[in-house]
Amino acid sequence: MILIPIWLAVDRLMDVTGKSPFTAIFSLSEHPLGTEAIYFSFVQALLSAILTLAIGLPIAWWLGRHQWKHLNIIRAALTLPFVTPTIVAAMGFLALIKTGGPIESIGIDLRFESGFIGWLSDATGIENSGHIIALLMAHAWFNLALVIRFVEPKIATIPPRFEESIRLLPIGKTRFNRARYFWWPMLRTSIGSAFVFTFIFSFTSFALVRWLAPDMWTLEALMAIEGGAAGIPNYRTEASLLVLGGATLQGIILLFALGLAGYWEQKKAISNDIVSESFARKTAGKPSPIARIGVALALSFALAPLISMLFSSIRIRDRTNESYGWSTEAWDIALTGDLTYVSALEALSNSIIYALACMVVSVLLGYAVASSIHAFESNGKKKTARAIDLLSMLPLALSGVMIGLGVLLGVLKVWPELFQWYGLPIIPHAMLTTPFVIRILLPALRSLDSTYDETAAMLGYSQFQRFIKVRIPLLKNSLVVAATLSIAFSLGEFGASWILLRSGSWDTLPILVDQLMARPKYFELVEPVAMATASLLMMITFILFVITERFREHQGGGF
Amino acid sequence: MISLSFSGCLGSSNEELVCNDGKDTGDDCVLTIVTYDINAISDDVLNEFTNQTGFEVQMIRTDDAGGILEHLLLTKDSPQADLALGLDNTYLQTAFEFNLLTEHNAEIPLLDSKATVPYNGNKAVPFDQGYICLNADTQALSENNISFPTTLEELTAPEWKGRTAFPSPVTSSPGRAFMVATVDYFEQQSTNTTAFDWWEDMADNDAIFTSGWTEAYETHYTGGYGIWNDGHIGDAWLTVSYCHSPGVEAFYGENSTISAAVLIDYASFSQVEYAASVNGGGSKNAVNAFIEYLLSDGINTNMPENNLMYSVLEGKDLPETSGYRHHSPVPSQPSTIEMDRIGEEMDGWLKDWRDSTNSI
Repeated sequence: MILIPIWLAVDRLMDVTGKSPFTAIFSLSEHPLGTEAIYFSFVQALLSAILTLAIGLPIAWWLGRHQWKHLNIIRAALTLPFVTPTIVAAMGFLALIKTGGPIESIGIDLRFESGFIGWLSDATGIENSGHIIALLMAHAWFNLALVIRFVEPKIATIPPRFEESIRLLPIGKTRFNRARYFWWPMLRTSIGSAFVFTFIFSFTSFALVRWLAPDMWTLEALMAIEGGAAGIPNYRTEASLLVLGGATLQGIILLFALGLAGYWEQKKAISNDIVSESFARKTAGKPSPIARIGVALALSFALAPLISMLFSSIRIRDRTNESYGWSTEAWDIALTGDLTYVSALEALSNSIIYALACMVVSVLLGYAVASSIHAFESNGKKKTARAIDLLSMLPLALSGVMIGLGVLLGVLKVWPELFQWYGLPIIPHAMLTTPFVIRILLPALRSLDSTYDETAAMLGYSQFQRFIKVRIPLLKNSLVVAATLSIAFSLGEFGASWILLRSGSWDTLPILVDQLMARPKYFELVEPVAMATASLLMMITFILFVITERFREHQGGGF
Repeated sequence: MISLSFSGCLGSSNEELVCNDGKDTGDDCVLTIVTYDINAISDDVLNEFTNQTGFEVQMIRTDDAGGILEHLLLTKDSPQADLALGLDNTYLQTAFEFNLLTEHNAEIPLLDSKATVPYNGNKAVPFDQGYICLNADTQALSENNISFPTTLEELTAPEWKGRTAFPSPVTSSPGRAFMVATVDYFEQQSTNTTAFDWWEDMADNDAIFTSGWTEAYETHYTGGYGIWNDGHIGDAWLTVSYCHSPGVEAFYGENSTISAAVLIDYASFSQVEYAASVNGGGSKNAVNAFIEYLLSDGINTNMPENNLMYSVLEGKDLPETSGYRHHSPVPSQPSTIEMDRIGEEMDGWLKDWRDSTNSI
């Protein structure tokens, strides 16, 4: 289900271009922006990953080393950006960096690039440095949760006696040495995984690049813009060539990165020796003032774009005296749909229907795959299990735009009527979320105590009864987390839906936000209506996320 | 007039609306329109059409005119739409060449002669029009002591360095229309400079190239409403838009605007947008009914307010309200390049443009 549309799309593109995917990679340099897009994708993803670690590691350290009141709320707030739809993140950052916005008011003009940022541009010779900084900040904001989720539980569960022992040795006398010879070896796998995933998400960034760095191109953004003309015989063949070569190259890069992350994950599993978080935290004690300030700043960083966006939805331009006033008019218009074909509530209802359907498909499919892998592992067929496990990771190497183009060109080739089917967006959404479901359910299945199942069997329960009465209750927490994350990802999915919109009419909330933002805004309420719609999407995502957090088990790190 | 035209759709012994005249059944009661985000086709307009005719309307919305053409090309073997709404005269010839459109039988009212210049057959019907031209920020020019441009060549001078923004002709229909105009402009000059030499000079002069009109006008242009929006950059004093865009600014801005159309002979383009029956699509009665509805006085006269474009009906103009017409000059000599030449040479022009600008 996941790979067939992609295979069909590649076949179609090969037909149109007359080239294989690998030879198409070498044609990328013929596109005026091909080389630039590859270079920029790499550099900004690398810088984003470094910046995310620079911000995230101290936070993870402080959170993991101390006893915090309301730790779950702090964790939830810092993880919220990761489940925030990218289009909402883009709107939030636009609101944050605009003229008169919070960032500009402290003298950092990222949009007009005047003052210090202008000096930076002149000094470094880097064009659009303000926009690049805004993009890197947004990527760091979005991926901060990865560092915290991967690293913080690891720090919190390392037995304190390890550190005490190293302090007694001559090699552990200085902080630097302890960091080098103790903490780095203990944490490097978690840090490496966080780095790689941040790199992947930044490399495939589309909505944030589209709105925050409008003159810059990542491969993903270039494929999205050119993708509409791809796959059409005798029409702008260069667009098909770009999509074929770009998707292949991006797939290879992401696959390599995922392989690296998988390797580190394995190493982490071997070296995992943990104690309970509460034990380690009690030993470390209450947070220092610096830790408190650092975490407070991190919380402000995590929430500022979302709060700015909310304000932008009620701050309305007053044409009579060219100033701004406060009003909820934009919310009224968003909810009634007076400016758009569908109201925000109708788009929300579409989004929820797609998200629920996506959840059902991805949880069923994900459970089937995860339990197959687990069954092979239990039966000693480790190689088969590993092969399926790797295959199930493959879709993670496909970005939203790649999957959207795959469905557009692949499905259209064999079943054009499907493009009139209301439920079409469920396919790309499920393709994107199923690998995450597998990654959540597989560790849960592995940690199941088989004696419960065996006892139930001895008591005469059938296989179905054991599944319903034993396995489901034991997996409840993981299933709820998988289901709600699947819903949240589907609700916020942008790239694939944006591509499919070219050939259909599926108005989800993220698409409605983009439609409003892309429309001429002579009428002063258009942008506040877009902000109100994005705020609505943020609130729904937030509610879902709070539900997820109630069921999450914090042990050992990762999603 | 509308009720007479739709008599086949409206009449019924028990006063109920019937979508067919005895020939259409099932899916033919549903009209599927492929279009872009056209403001004029609001929910109210569609509901009124359904109330009048009984035809339900489904919309397939792409991002712009190019998206409509690409949708038609992608689904050529199994068309998903019955009516294409929004192809303009820079795309129409390509649609003809790929045999994507077919004849309609709608009754067409008397149209403005300008709207029928590019194409006057019955495979496509104009529904709105406007001139694409350069717009300049008069305030910025005045503050920087730069004279209002009267030729395209002036824009390659150092004082314009990094101060112009152009939507790409590859991905934007206004960008495409303006590129066609530049071809004509330089062909009319008595020099050896071609349009693509000029585009190369503009690229060397740090012109900003964007993928769409929105990015150029709203994000970069200093003379428009964009200055009030989140995300505005404001580094371009001149961009491509409609000659009546300053009029729209004034209409929404209490008769005040700092933006002005740059009227240079042959450097503007008369853009006409069309409604056309899709070859292989169904619901022919619905297609005809919708075209007639779109060209009805009640709908088409309101194009300037609802779709920010001129009506195509004879004798209609922009409203005087809030300086709309006053700030919307009409070019005396727009580009004269004909549609069939655009169809023939567009691929080559786009390639030359990309080679000249090294842009998308």
